[in-house]
Amino acid sequence: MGAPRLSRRTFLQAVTAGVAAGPFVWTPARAQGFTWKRFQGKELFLLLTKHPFIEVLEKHIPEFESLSGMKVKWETLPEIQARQKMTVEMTANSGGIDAFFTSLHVEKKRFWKAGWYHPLNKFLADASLTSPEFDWNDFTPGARAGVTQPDGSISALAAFVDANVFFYRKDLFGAKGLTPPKTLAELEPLVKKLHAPPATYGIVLRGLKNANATQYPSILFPMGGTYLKDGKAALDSKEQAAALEMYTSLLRQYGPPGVVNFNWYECSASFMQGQVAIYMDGVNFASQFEDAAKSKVVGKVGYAVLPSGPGGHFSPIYITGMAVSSQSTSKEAAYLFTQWATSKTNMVRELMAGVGVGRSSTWDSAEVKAKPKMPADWYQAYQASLKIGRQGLPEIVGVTEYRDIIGVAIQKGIEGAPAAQVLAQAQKDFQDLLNRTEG
Amino acid sequence: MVRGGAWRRRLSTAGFYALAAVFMLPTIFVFYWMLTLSLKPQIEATAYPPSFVRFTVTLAGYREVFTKYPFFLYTWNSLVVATGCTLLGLAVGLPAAYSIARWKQQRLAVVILVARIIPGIAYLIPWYIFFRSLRMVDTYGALILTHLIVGLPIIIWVMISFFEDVPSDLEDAALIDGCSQLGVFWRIALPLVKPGVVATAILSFVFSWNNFLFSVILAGRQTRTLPIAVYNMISYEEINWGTLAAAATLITLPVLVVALLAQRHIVTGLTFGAVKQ
Amino acid sequence: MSLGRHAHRHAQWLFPAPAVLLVAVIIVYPIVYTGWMSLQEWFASSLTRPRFIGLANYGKILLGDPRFREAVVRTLYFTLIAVAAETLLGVAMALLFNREFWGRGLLRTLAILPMVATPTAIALVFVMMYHPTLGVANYLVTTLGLAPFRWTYSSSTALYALALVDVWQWTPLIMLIALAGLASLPREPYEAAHLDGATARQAFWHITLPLLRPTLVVAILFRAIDALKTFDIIFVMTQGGPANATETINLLLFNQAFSYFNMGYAASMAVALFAIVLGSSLILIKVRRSTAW
Repeated sequence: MGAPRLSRRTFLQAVTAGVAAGPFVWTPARAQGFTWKRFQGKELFLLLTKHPFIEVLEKHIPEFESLSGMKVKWETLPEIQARQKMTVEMTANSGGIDAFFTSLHVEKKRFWKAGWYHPLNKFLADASLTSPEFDWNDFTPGARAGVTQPDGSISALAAFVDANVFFYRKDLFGAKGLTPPKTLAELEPLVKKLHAPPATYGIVLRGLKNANATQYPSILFPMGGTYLKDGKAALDSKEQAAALEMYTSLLRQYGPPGVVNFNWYECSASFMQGQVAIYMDGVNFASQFEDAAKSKVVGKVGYAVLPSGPGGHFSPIYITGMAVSSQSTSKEAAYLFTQWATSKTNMVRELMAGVGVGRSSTWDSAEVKAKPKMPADWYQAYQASLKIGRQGLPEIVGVTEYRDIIGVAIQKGIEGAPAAQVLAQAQKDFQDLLNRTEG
Repeated sequence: MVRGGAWRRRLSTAGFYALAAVFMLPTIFVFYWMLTLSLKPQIEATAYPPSFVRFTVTLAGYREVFTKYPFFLYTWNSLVVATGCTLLGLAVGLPAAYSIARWKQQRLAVVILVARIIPGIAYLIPWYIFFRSLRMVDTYGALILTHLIVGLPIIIWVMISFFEDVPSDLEDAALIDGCSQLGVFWRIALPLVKPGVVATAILSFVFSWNNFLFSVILAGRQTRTLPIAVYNMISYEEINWGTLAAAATLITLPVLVVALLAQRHIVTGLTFGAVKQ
Repeated sequence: MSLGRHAHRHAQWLFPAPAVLLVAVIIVYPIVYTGWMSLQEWFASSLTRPRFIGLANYGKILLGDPRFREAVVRTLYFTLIAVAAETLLGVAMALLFNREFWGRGLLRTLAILPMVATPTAIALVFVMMYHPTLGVANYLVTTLGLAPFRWTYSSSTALYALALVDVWQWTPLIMLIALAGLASLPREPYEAAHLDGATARQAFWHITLPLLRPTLVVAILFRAIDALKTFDIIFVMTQGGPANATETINLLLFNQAFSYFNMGYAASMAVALFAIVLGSSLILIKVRRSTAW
């Protein structure tokens, strides 16, 4: 290919040593030898999830096909069905999937332990496989950490980073002369002032178990609570009880009826129909709020960073990425696809469509600034949230089970059970889970 | 006396239609609601108070169903699989039901029931391995065979009851006349159990039509069936109500036609009067 | 006496052979695989092989997992109320529609619509209908002057709200089978009874019902099997919540397999569910046998 084989081998050895030694350090490699058409003629099969990032990506896949000369077949399914199909195929050792879209906040450690991710470190270091413009360092530190396993192996290329923000009705706030709360202490009185049933409910948050576990850290973290401490369950701390109490009492008193089983669609439907004043959830729902065909509150929604608390200022973030299957028979070719999907060009397209990405440069790109799809405060809130981003869920194998455990505790709390009691049970179950599945 | 009878008849007819309406109300209402959802823009789909008659009509939902998905391919696939599985089910199931009814082969009946009892999830991974090794993933064959698991037990078990009701004198008479067992089955028993055949054929068709789990795992891009199109209306951040309802409505149409045509064969007042007393 | 037995002994085996063989081939591997997996501990890893642990999974289900035991009770309860309601309504509707009337074909076809529509789509439509503040269900309820219900949005009412959806969707199954059964009832008993001066109600209780019973029990059998394994509507509408109030065995099983990746444990639950459904089926089969000719 041009580069003398000897020097490339020694380079790879050096990098491998570096990987074994600690977190991956990107060293710019010699820019020769890379070509998109290297695996011309090969066929790839992708398993993708129904997700706004993928919706934009799918439209441009033919561009990749002409760029690389490869044929790409893919299947897009809702997240749970996609994971089900993945499980069946990987368990059956089918080798039928080359690359897939992975929700790291659910799958990171689980898939790693099952050996389903193919580590991308070697590929990233290989100049002949990685385009010189790729620039791994362009990804935010949070995004990079999110896709890296404890042993340094990189399981996926970060695509979409979801941050939690504070949605509020500018018009209702303005009418009462209110501004978004800077701290959690300000939150409750604010919600109370806005609560005017049945026309308006003060606040809506997810109540449905498992689903609520990704929004709960919006209150848990600022209250100083956390899920793990030194690898042990930390659900019985004072801070945790205070956080659960706040989350559940807000919903009990100021949430719409039935909120205990609200998933994002009930929450966002209530918000978009103008029934709720405040909603805290993933930044992604915003594109619907501003769509006149779907929302009655177009132009009335304000976006702010989540309030801080005694424990600090955080926004729970969740990362999804493009990964290569360890059972693929065309791993390098699949890697080319994942690389293209998370390239600077593609990320700009995503952000222009209103989908937040894990690359820093994208946010400052001229194209995005020229044609903003979302209101200015959305970009501000999103970027600011990424800066205070913190992984919302524990990076453990049994994370789904953890979500069910804390999720049920929250639901019981919403229906009136005392926080300390439900947390005691949750703590027991969680520690039991850790004993069983970690280590 | 006559006048009283006429009044009573008219009242009972009116009463009948009133009662029928009451029973049908929940069905009609939900489907009416689904139909309106398919014609409403997203913003009105979740609006409150709900609009029953006066709303903006839009065909966007239907348009999206046809443009976003190869809907005709999906429909065709579903049709092939459902028809194939029903025909195959009848072909092997009717003789089996007859035999079990005639010669009291209870144990065979239970073996077949077991297929329906096994939780669907337990089939997924082993079937995937099985069909993959036979290179039958993404083929009609795999889907027809697996959908059979849902249809065949019901065909057989319901038909057992119907075959049991066929009087043995009728069959014995035919056998004495020199008819073969097959002939008795085909020419005597089968015509008498037509209502049952129609009912079970409809059921088998419907179950196959709606089956989602097996299709997700075993169907590929060529053989993808309709329920998957419905599922795909649920995305990460919204449920596209208009398209979802449109897809759901469109999916019921072919089966409605099949059922309507088949219904004519469920005849009332069938008699066994062929037996000479 | 029965010439059938004499004349064609081979028919006894030839007739059912294709069906039995087809079924056996398709189900044998899954049965063996699930049974074997239930004795292992495995988390779907490509790196580690399943580990044999004997009957430990079963021990856990029976003794160490209150969540499973609660799911069993819930599953049986749900099945009982749903199937009972479906049977009563289904038979009533079949009796009503078992006559010549204008629009018969169309009405009967419409009546089976609920079970024809994709369960997932129906479930989602019901989700929106059940929404406490935006849904049409509460709109209708409040128009009638009643207080709004929580439907699936409260632990105390969720299971009943789900049963309602199940009844709405599957009553047609019973109706369809009962209708076919009524259509093939012989006329003579009715003519004889009429000659003897029996009333319509007597004819129903003493002729229709006994004649219909075997067919009806089969319909109930299949509904019970499916109700015990209900998954779609629960998964879409409540995911087992609130706080596990609607978690049935099948839902728990799905979670164990595809969320927790606890393959061995899930397999043992599948076997347990199978045993429960098989047990219930055998009871119903016995009931049927005692009513057949």
